[in-house]
Formats: sequence, C-alpha cells, structure tokens
Amino acid sequence: MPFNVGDPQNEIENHIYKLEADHLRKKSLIVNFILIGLLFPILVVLYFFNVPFLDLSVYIIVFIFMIAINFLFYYYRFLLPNIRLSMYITSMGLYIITISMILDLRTPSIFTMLFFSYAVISLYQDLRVSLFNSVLLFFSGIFIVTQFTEIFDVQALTPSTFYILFFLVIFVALLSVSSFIIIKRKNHFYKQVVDIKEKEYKYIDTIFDLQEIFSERKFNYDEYYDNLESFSEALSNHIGVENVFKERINILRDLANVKDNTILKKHSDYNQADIDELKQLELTSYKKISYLAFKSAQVQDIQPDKKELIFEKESATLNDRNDDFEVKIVAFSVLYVMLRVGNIYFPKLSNNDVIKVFSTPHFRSLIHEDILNAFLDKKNTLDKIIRGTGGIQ
Amino acid sequence: MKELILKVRNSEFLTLNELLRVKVSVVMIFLLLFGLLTIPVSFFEDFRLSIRIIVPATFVSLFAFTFLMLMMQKSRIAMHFSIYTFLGLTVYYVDGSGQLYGYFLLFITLTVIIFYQDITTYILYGGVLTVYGVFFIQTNDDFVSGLPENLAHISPIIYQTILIGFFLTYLFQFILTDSINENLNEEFLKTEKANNLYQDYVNRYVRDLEDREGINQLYDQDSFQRTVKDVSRELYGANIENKNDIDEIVDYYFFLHKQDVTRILSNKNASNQALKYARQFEKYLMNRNSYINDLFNTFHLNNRSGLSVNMHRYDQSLERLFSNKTNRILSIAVIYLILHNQVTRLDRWGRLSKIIEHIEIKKLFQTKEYREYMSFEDVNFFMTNENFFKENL
Repeated sequence: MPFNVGDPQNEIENHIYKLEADHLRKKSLIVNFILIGLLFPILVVLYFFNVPFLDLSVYIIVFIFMIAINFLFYYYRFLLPNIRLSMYITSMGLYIITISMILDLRTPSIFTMLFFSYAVISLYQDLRVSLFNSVLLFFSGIFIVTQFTEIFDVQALTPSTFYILFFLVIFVALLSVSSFIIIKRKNHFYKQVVDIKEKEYKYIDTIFDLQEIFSERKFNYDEYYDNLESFSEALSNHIGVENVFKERINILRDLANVKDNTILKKHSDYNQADIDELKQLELTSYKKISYLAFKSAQVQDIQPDKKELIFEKESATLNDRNDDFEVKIVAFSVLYVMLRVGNIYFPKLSNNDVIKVFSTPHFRSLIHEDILNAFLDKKNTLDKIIRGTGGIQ
Repeated sequence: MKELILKVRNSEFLTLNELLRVKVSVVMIFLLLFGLLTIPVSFFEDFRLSIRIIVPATFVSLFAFTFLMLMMQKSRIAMHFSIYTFLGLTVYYVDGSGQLYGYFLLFITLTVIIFYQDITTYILYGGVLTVYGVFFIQTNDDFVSGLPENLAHISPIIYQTILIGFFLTYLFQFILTDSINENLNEEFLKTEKANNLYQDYVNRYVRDLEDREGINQLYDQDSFQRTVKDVSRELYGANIENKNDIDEIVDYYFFLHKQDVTRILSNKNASNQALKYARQFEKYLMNRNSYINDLFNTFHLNNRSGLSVNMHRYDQSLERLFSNKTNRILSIAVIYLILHNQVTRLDRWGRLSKIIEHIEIKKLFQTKEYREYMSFEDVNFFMTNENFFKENL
C-alpha cells in the first residue's frame, strides 16, 4: 500500500476551518450585542450635536445592515459565500460610522472612537480581518490627523500632530503584532486539538482491526441489526405504538452498500439531513457510533489528572532539549529502523515513504536539524544497511 | 533582530516562558523607539522643568532594569517593569502636557498591557490606568476644545466612555479567549490521555500477536540491534569523527530494555553516566508507552483514513448528535449493544479482553463522567426500560 501523506492533512484542515467557523459564529453574536449596545449612545451624541435627521437615518441604516449581516452569519452561515464576509462588512461599516462621526462632530474626543472600533473588530481574532482592521485604522487615522488638523485645534502640522501620528503607529504596530501572535497560537492550538482527535479515531479503528485479527473472527453486524430490531419491536409493543424504528434500522442496513440517492428514492419521507444523521449510527462503513461506544467505556480512565496548559505540555519528540546529541541519534536510528522493518501488524515502509514523512514540517520540527541533514545526505547508504540485513526476523 | 522576527513568526511553537521573553523584547524595542523619538521632541514643548529631567532619568533607569531582568531570564519581572516604564511615561505626559496626545498614551499603555495577554496583569494595571484616565479627564477642562458652551460637558463624557469601552472590550476578549481555550484545552488533555491508553492497547495486541507467531520482540533481535548500531554510526560519523563512540551508547540503550529503569534511577551507586543516559533514554524505550512507539504509531496512523462522517465530527453527546428522538433511542441501544457484545475494557490481568455485563453498563451510564455522552434524560430512559435492553441486546 503506498504511503499517502497528502489527503488526511486536507481532512484536518477542513475540520480546523469548521472549528474556527463555529467559534466565529459565537464571536459574531457578541460583536452584534456590542453594536446593538452602541447604537443608542451614538444616536444620543449625534442628536446633541444637532446632526440632521437625514444623516441620523443613514447611521441607523448602516447599523441595522451590520447587525443583520452578523445575525445572518450566526443563523444562516451557509447562505454567505465566505465566512469572513460578515466580518469585513462589519469592519467597513464600523469605520465608516466612526469617520463620519469624527467629521460630523469635529471634536478631538471622538477621534479615539477609532481605537474603540479597532477593539471591537479585534474580537473576531481572525488573521485576515485583523490585518484589514489594522490597515483601516492606520489609514483612517492618518487621513483625519493630516487632512482635518482643525479638529485637534491646530491650524497646521505641529509637534502635537507628530505625537498623535507616532502614537498611532505604535498603537497599530503593537496591536498588530499582538493579534498576529494570538491568532497564530490559536490556529496552532485548533490544529493540535483536531490532530489529536483524528488520531484518536484512527487508534480505535486500529484496535478494532487488531481485535478481529487476534480473535480470528469478524464482528457480525447483521446480528447487531437483528438484535436492534427485536429490541425496537419489544419496546414499541410495550409502549403500545407503531414500530417507528424498523424503517430506520432498514436504512442503516442499506447505508453501507447503497448510495444515498437510492435510499432517498426508496424512503420518500426522508431527506438528506435525515440520512446524514443516520450515518452516525451505521456500524460497518461509517462506524462513528462504534468508536463513540468504545471511547465511552474508557471514560473514567481518561479524566485529566491535573490542569495543564497545552502550550506547557511535552509531546513526543526526538529533539528534547535536555538530551545529549548521541541520545538523539540513537532515538532517531531506532525509529528509522523500526519504520523500515515494520512489525507483524504495521507494514514495513520504503526509504522514500520515510523520507517523505520526515520532510513534512511537523516531523522536521521533531528532529534535530543536523541529524535530519545527515540522514538526507546518507539516505542511500542507510537504505543499503537496511537492505543488507535481509529483513529482520 | 532577525532572530526576534523569526521567533514572532514561529510563536506558536514557543513555550509560555519563551513567548513572554519575546514579548518583553518587542515591547522594549517600542519603548526604545518611543523614548528616542519623544523625549528629544519634548524639549521643544512647553513642559515643566521637572518633566524635562524626571522623564529621561526615570525612563533610562527603568529601561536599564527591564533589560537587566531580561538578560537574567527573569521575563516576568521584566514584563512588570516594562509596564511600569510605560505607566510612568503616561502619567508624566498626561499630567505634564495636558494635551490630546497625552490622553492617547493611555491607549498605548493599555495596548502594551494587552500585548502580554495576562488577564490578571490587565485587570490590575489596565484597571488602575483606566480609572486614572477617567479621573484625570474629570478634573481637567483642557481637553474640552473648540466646542460651544452648551456642548462642553459632553466632550469629557465621550473621552471617558470610549476609554472605559476600550478597556471593557479587551477585558471581554480575554474572558472569551480564556473560556474557548479552557474547553479546548480540557478536550485535548482527555483525548491525549485516551490516546496513551490506546497506544498501550495497540502495543499489547501487537506483542501478543508476535508471541503467538513465535516472533521475538524487535529490541531482543540481534539483527535489529546491529542495524540500529550501523545506522547510528553513519549518522554520528557525519557529525563527529569517531564513529565508535556511539556503539557503547547503543548497547546501553538495548541493555535498558532488560532492566527496571526506575531501580537504576534510584540506585545511589550507579555512575553519573549510567544515570544520565538511563534518564534520557527512558522515554525512548520500545517496551512501554514511549515517544518512540507514539511516533511509530503516528507514522502509520497518518496513512489510515479517518472518520467518513462529517456531521458533528467531534461531538460525542447524543443530545447534540441526534436531533431526532427515535434516532437518540436507537443510539442508546447501539451503544449498549457494543458495550455488551464487544471487548472494550481491560480484564483483571490488564489485557483488553473484557466485555461489560449489564450491571456494569448500568453503573457506567450513571457515572458523572458519562454525562459527556448521555444526558440525564437519556439515562432515565435507559433505567426505565433496562429490561428491554438486557433481554434483546
């Protein structure tokens, strides 16, 4: 079997995206509450400054539009072509409102509303939106400071203007670096969580496979479905209602071998969402419920002993900073030979397979740079050593 | 500088302490820039003499102390002193200049505190600074400029509201990030613990299969040991001239597989070299849950396809997985069926060969930890109808 490095990675990235999207939904709801909270005080201030009613109504429309787009993202995310669309629109909208207020009110106090807008948008914690936010703040700040000096009670550029510009640069630069670090660590954190969960399902799948090999018998899932049928029959009789489970159990039997379209034609009362939900119960092909049952049996043994932070945890590596160089070489050599010779269950891998995986960013970060370089330089010699053994026992 | 940029770019791989060091370094660069650009300019401004002397002197001493602490690896103390430097500058400029840019400095200092991403530090220093800003504006009319008399009272309120709003928005961001991270962190720790358990199960099955086939463990095979030695010599020779030095270390690595490493580590008569290598090799031994076995399995698991169910991929609560009540009843039945018919637990000899009896399943479902899978409502349903489960599944 060829060693496929690419595909699982896409799967993982797809689910990091979903995890991210779920959290963005929550954040968009929070931003919306802030927007709703801002609307009234802003209207009061504008009213005190005698802003014409027509202008006031424009402010209200922009606010309503932002609130609507955030709610749309929260409740009907699939209707939007891109998950960032609502965030870009909110950023633009909030800066338009802020700049308009500065120009309408022409008092230096309202200038700091730009900083507040920056803080609200930064709640999303998204790399692209954060960059967009920094660019918007920087240019709108420079535009107002240099083009509308009278707002700051001066007639031309003065040391005060210099200070304001310089402070603006520091503000944007520091918060941009801060957002960059937070977002990079957050994305890495999500990736680690998704990676470990994917690994968990694969481990359980391996255990099921090993159980079948060890016991020399296949799980009889047809029998499981028969048992489910008798259970549902007995339960329905007891409650005194029609057996509503039977049709679903029949669909479960079909799901492993029959295409969704065929099932939908056969069971006209069901839609794709129903079928997708039932896939979570299927035992031979999708197996999610089997994994879940196995995991749930270990629930009392997997509670964390102490509260540790993921960033402070040690994870498997061949490049522990406390180890001597010789120890790192031996550890690397052991892993390399283990992979090349395999064992009774896991097949041996070719030199190219191993090189391919050792060259991925994840594994590169686990191996001492000098050892990896020496390995890549001597890959043919090492391959000859392995072949020379003629396979291990 | 290049190294610092590289560290910021790869900040997701840093430990919390390393990250704090990077952050203090970044703040110090801004601080230096700030000092170099603003203090000379302040001589052209109409500041009091005390400000002209105290500001540079305080700045230089605080900066020097922060730098010293950073050099002495006391990143946390350095962080506090970098904040004190900014706080000092803010108070001097706000109080001394009474101008708008002094007020902007409040936001810059809050930004520096936000940059460190420590909620306690933010509440403490950020809170004090915000309260100071609010009181300062309340007691100084200088900020009210260019407004008609009837609106003069609004300007301070705007200043104060925006400052408080900015502080609260970032405080909210801290709380939000912490709550999302805490949940994910717990998920990660549980899954990691589960994976360690599964690693053990997989290794035991493989060992049992090899025993059944009469295959020696890899670490016991001379040919494997010889191959590891040859590979180590090649890699070691590429970096260090005398290849033979590594032989003894490889021999000691395999020797440890036949020993109780804990006893060696607690042996007061053991040589320093023996203790050092035993300590370092412990995590790489092949006959236990170790980094080597984890990486070997990870290599092979990467090649396995993951779950093909994408709906609620990582959810495990039946309540979230199944919106349909009938499906939820079926899911409880399937879980019971698997627990009651398949090997899911360790037996008294520590082998994964135990099928759980009805009474044990009942106990398991009632545990506090099992609420992650089944709600009280699900468990009540099971308890009310337990005979149907017991007799049919």
